[in-house]
This record gives sequence, C-alpha cells and structure tokens, in this order.
Amino acid sequence: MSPIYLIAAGLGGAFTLGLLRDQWRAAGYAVTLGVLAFTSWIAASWVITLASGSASTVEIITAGTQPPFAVNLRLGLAEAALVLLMNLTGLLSALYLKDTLFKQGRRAMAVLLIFSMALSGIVMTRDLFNLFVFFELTVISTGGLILLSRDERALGAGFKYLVASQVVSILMLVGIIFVYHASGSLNIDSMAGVSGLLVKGGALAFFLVFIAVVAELKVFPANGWALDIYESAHPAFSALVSAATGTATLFAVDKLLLIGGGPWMQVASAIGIVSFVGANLFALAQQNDRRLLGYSSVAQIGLVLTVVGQKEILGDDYLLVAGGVLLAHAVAKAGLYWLSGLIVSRDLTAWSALRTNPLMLFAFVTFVALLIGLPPFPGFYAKWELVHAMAGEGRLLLLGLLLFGALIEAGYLFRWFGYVIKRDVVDTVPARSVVKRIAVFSAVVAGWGLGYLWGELSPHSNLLLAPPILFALLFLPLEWLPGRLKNGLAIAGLLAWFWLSYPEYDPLQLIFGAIILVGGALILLASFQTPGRRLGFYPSAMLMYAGLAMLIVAEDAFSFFAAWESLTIGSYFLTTWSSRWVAPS
Amino acid sequence: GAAESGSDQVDRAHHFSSVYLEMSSVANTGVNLVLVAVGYMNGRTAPILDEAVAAAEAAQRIIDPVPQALVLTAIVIGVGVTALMLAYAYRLFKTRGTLDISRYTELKW
Repeated sequence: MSPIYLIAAGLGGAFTLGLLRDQWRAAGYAVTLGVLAFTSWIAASWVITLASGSASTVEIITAGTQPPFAVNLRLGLAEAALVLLMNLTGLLSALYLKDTLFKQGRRAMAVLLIFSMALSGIVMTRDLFNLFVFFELTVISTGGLILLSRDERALGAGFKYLVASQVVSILMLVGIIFVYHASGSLNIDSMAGVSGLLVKGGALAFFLVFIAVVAELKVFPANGWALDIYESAHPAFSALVSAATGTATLFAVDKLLLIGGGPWMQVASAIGIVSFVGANLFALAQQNDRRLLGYSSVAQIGLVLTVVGQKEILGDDYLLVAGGVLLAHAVAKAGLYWLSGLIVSRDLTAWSALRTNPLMLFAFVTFVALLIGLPPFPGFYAKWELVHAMAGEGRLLLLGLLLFGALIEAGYLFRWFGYVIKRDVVDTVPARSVVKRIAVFSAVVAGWGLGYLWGELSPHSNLLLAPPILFALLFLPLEWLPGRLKNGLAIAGLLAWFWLSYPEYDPLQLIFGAIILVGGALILLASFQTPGRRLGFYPSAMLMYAGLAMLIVAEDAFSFFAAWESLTIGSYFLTTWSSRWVAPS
Repeated sequence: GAAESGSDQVDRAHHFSSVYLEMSSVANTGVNLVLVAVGYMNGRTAPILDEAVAAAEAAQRIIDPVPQALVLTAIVIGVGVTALMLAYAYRLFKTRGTLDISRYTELKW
C-alpha cells in the first residue's frame, strides 16, 4: 500500500466526517477509528517490510515532477516507525476519548484526524515550506483539541499556545524565504548540498528556521504555554502532545541538522542539555501529577535533542540510541497520561489508588522504569551506548550534566513511586473505563516489546532472554497463587539455577554461587511461616537474586552493570515492600 | 472629556483583540510582504504565461513565482489561525464575561 495513503486517508476521513449528519455520532466515531487503524496498519506493514530489507526507502513524488521542483515525501525505516508510533497513539487516544468525542461530535473527530495526518506529514516531508505547512496544521488542530478539556484553564492555555505559535511561525516563514533566497531551493536535501549556504545571510536565515522548530519543541525555559497545556488539557490529548508532537518535531530538527551540520549539532546538544537538567530541576518541586509529567516531557525531549546533537560520534548506533530514548519516552509518557485519567485527584499522593489494582501498579512501575531507562528497557541499552561514545570522545562536561539530570529524574520518579506504595489509599480507581484500560495496557505491552526489540538490536546480550531475569518476571503472572506455593517455586528456581551453573563456575564463583543461591534458598525457607499471597514480594526478591546470580558470572562491563542494576532495583523494591503494598480491594 | 477618552484608550489597549489579534495580523501581513519582496526582480513581469510572455523566454522575463505561491499558502494558514484565535476570544468572553486582559492574570507567562 502506497505511503501516500498515510496522508490521503486522514484528509479523506476528515472530509467524510464533514459530510455526515451531526446526530450520526457512532458513524463518525467509526470513521475516525477506521482511518486511524488503517493508517496504523499501513505504517506497521512498512515498518516490517523496511526492517526485513525486502524494500528500500520509498520516495513519494508529487505533481508528477522530481524534487526540488515539487514537494517530495520520504518513508524510510525511521520515518515508518515514527509514523506508526503517532498513528497508534492517535488510535488509542481516540479510543480513550470515546465519551468526549461522542459529546463533541464529528468536528472534534475531524480535527483529531487532521492532527495525526499533520504529524505524519512533519515526519515524511523533505520540503522546508511543506514542513511549515504541516507545522501550522498541527498548531491549528492542537488549538482545537485543547478545547476537548473540561478544565477552564485549558482555554487560557490554548490561547497562550496560539500566540506563541504565531511568533514561532513568523520566525519560521522569514527564515524559510531567506534560506530559499540563499540556496535557490526549498528541498531539504538540495539545501544540504549547497556549499557556502550558511555564511552571512544564509546563516541568519537558517538560525531563524532552526530556532523556530526548536521553540516548537517547547524546550526549557521557553515553555510556559506548553506546561499549561500538559496540565490543563484532556490527559489523552496531553499524551498525544508529549508522545506524538514531541517525537515529530524532534525528527524535524534532525532533518534540519542535515542543512546545519557540525556547528549546529553542538547548538542542539547545548539547548538539549539545558532543557534536560533545567526541566528536571523544576520537576522536583511539582506536586501536580500532570504538571510533573509536563516538566518530565520537556526534560526528555531535551535529552533526545542532546542525543541528536551527538549524531556524528554515534555513527551507526545513532538510530539505536536516539530511537531507544525517543520511543521509550513516548510510550511511557502516553501510558502515564492515560493512567492519570483514571486517577481522581491531581495530587501525586492520590496515585496510591493504584494499589487497589495490581495490574495498574505493574503498569505504573513499567512506565517509570521505561522513563528512567532501567534494564531491560530500551533507554538502558541506548544510554549505555551514548555514555560510552561520549566518554570515548572526551565530552565529559556534557556527560556529567547528562548523568546529573538523569539522577534528578530518577529521584523524583522514585519519590512518586514511594507515594504510590506508602501513602494511604484515599480514592479508588474507577472500574467502568474498559477502553481507557485498553489504552494503558497497550502501552505496557509496547514498552516490554520495545525492551525485547532493543535487546535484540543492541550489540550486547538481550536481558529479556537471560534466564534469571525471565524467572523473576515469571512471578508477575503467578502473583495470584498462595505465598507458600510461590515460596516453593522460588526455592526450586534458586537451587535449579545453581545446579545448572556450577559446572561452569571457577572456584571463587562457586563459593559466591553457593552463598547466594543455596543460601538464598535457605533464607526463603523461613517464609513458609508467613501466610497470605505476599503480593509484590517474590518478583522483587527474585529480581534481586537474578542480579546476584548474573553478577557472579559477569565478564564484561555491560553484563556487570546490567546485573548490578537488576540487583539494585530488586533490593530497592524489597526495602519498600510491606504487606500493605497492595491494599485489599 | 480628555480624561474620559484617555481611559477609553487604556481599555482599548487592554482589549484582547487589540493586543493579540491586531498584533498578529499586522505581523503576518508584514511577513507576507517580505516574502513577495524577496521574490521580486527588477524589470520583470508577472509569472503568467500567455501571449505577452511565451513559455520559451519565461525564465528570462518573469519574476520568481515560488514566493508568491508560498504567500498564498501563508495567507490561508494565517486566516485559519486568526479565526481560531477569535473563537478562543469568544469562548473566553463567554466564560469570564470580559475581554479585559488585566482580568486574565493566569495568562501571564
């Protein structure tokens, strides 16, 4: 199926909605879901085709003329993956917004379709002015979709956003026309080939376009309007802004850097790291969940911008690193915003309601781990490669700032996790919203799927295929079993792993293996005394033992670090664990 | 009289439509002019191919049509954004009963 349908289906669907009667809400909703499912399917089929190598990057020519005399769109593997992400987020958000869309009618549905279509356009287009048009379409549809919120502050936030976008679009237009004047082309790839473009006037013109697109990213500190949107818009729309708009805009920056080259890469990294550290610092002080997620989005987008600026030293690993951080953030943030729609009040401590539902708690833990970049999620593999590349090039200041920002981020996310498992349960999670839960759990599945995929893509071992980790994860679906049965299984697992491994151990490893694995089994014997299901205990304890078991045999820095992380996370969960973890529902 | 008209002016300057809508439409028009001006070439004619300008000699005789096409698109987009901002102003007026910007303290950056 030609990728042009990614654009055409969205437009066609929106026009079809315009022809329907106002009362035909169900028909309109069916068209909306149908179009988003169709575009997601096209994108998914291209991801598979391009990844398997059975087709190469597609160029879509418009107006029957070759670029630079007509606009062209491109769909390579990176584009296809991002378009899939956007359309899937759109589809799940449309499901999540079912009640709201039925209430608002077909016009709101049409705006949602245009929004998804415009984001796909930002990713696929290779023409600078066409990029501007898709940006403006995104702005207009964003302005419309902010109004889906019942929060009165959303009106003010939307107006502010439109004013800011007007300023941004003026900068961009002036920049575009002078870049065109200097290069004689609007095609991004032709401009990248023009030598001497970025001297004198050309440099200023490029600066305007670049700064306009970076402002669209809503980086710190130029982001007051964006934070208001994250906080007051409908959570399903905030999910779209954070996951889809942010991702599309980052890809646009990456395209612009083809023109800018080396010096502008450093500018991107500098802006990115300021945004990452600054927004994380501000996030520390937040008590409102959606505003915290807003600051965290600004920070994460800054992190990806930093990575984009390191493209030259990352070489072949660029897609693995940038894609890993980008997709992990998008999935986690969409999931957390969708989850926030199930929480009644807006204080971080209200999230303790998740304890009434172990699956929800699991979803929350998954998203937080995805955001921090804990193993076995993509961020872990990506940050590993990034840190090594930066250390190898001696970019220590940037590396230091990156680690500092990541530490703050882990700090506030773990504090939030602490609220969830320690505070009293005041509210309960509304049970009726099946579609909302579907959206949340789709993000959980996507997160674990990406973890597996990144493990396969990384040059190191796939942590999700390491038997000790798999054994620890096995306890998650077995949580409903009685505690004593799980205890027996845990003891059997520890002894079996020792039995299987000890022929390979050298004498020193044998001593530690015996102490940790056999000793661990002995300690667990005492747990037969404790009644109840002990929810949360066994996955945490076995994760700790998995880390220890892998630590014994770790031979390179990566396996040592992965084992260490797994040990730390498991022990952290154990220290916070108490029988109150999951309240009786 | 003078004092009254003075306070009128303050009100007008505080009004949403004055502050944002006029600002943005003036700025947009300015940008559109810049776009057209960049494409203008001295001594050439409009990029319309008819009996006055033959296709063969068009490249030497007409001005660059691309900026004009861009302006056309930019105008359409500008109208869309302005309409949306007006819709927002209307909704804000309906919820607050005023468009006096000094009453919208949460709009401060």
